[in-house]
Amino acid sequence: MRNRAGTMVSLLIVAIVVFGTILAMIELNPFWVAMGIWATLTAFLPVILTHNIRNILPWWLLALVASPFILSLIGYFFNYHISRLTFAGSWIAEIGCIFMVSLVTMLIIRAYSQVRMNQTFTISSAFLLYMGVLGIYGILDFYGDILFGTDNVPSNADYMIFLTASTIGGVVLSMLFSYYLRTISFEEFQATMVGKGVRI
Amino acid sequence: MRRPQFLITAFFSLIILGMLFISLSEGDSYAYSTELISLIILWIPPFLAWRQIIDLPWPAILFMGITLFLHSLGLVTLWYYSTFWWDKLTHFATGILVASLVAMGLLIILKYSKTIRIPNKWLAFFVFVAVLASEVFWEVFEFAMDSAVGTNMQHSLVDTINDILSNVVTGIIAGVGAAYFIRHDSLDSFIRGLNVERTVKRLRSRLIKENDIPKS
Repeated sequence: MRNRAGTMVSLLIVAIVVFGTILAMIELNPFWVAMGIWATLTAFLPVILTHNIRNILPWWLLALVASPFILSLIGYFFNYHISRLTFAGSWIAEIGCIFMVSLVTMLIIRAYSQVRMNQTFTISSAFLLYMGVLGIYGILDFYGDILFGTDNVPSNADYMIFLTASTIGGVVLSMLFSYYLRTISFEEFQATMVGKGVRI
Repeated sequence: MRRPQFLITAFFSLIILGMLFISLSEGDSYAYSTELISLIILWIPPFLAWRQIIDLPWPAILFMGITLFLHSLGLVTLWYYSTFWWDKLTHFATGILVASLVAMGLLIILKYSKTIRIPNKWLAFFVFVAVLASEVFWEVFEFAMDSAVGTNMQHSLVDTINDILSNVVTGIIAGVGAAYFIRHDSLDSFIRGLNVERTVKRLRSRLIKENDIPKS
């Protein structure tokens, strides 16, 4: 169980994510709405499964997941919301957020279900989930453009350049995380998921 | 390779060979080069079985034959251009085939790994994720080929999105199918039929590190 301060910081980060999700709804941006809902769910899933608010995800992990939302909130007050970021800026924010939420999802599955995975398989599965989400992202944006009259995916070349760059980005992130997890014990990292046990 | 697998391969080879001659006589370079590649793909499973790498089950080879046949037929009859749903049909069929192969790969990992265990209720999710990811890899590959070699594998944004969407559906079918199969049949007897023991041993000695066994 986490201490009171840790829980409060985690809750504050979730509040930022929820605020960012509402802003994304107002701006008709289906991607950030979906990411916001997913990030919030991953944060609260351990709480729901264990019926204990103090089992919320650790604040540092949540901060990584929520970094685009936190940066966005800071930027919002300086009239520099995430939707106005440069292409490179928003791309880094997008792939970073997708990868982190994918990884956290896999860690939650590993911690709270009967699924058993070694470190390599966990990161590989997170990478596959990340790639799958990139595919669904395209579908969401495409139909979002048709429904809301936005222009998130202007052409096939634009989408494919994004997809190719994101694939390379995903490989780099997977390698970085593999390296990071080699420097600390994977079990130690997994231990941040408090209240472990088979619940889903 | 077992007799049914060989007969299926030979049967579809003859049909595609016939189409290859038609395309050659018409001088359609895209069609005959595709049919030639289809013939090569068709003989990959016999080659893998001969090299004792993997012995694919006959339904997988039958489906591969049907998929390649439909693709060649669409080129010879020009149905790809005249019938709007032909492209969707072939993509759906390819999706099912790829999904089955991905599911098979995952089942092999599950059977031989000491540190990976995926219960039945989670299998559908993992197969779905793997299928969807493989589709995205394929789209990136198509884009890379179009950019580097000048092929015309990707037609438009709508086509790309439809391809991914059809694989979302095939991923769900393959996931549910794999979970259903494992519930009703023996994983052991299925994997034994694939004859992958030797390949797994070879790969394990080279690649797989299983030193991080979870304690829980």
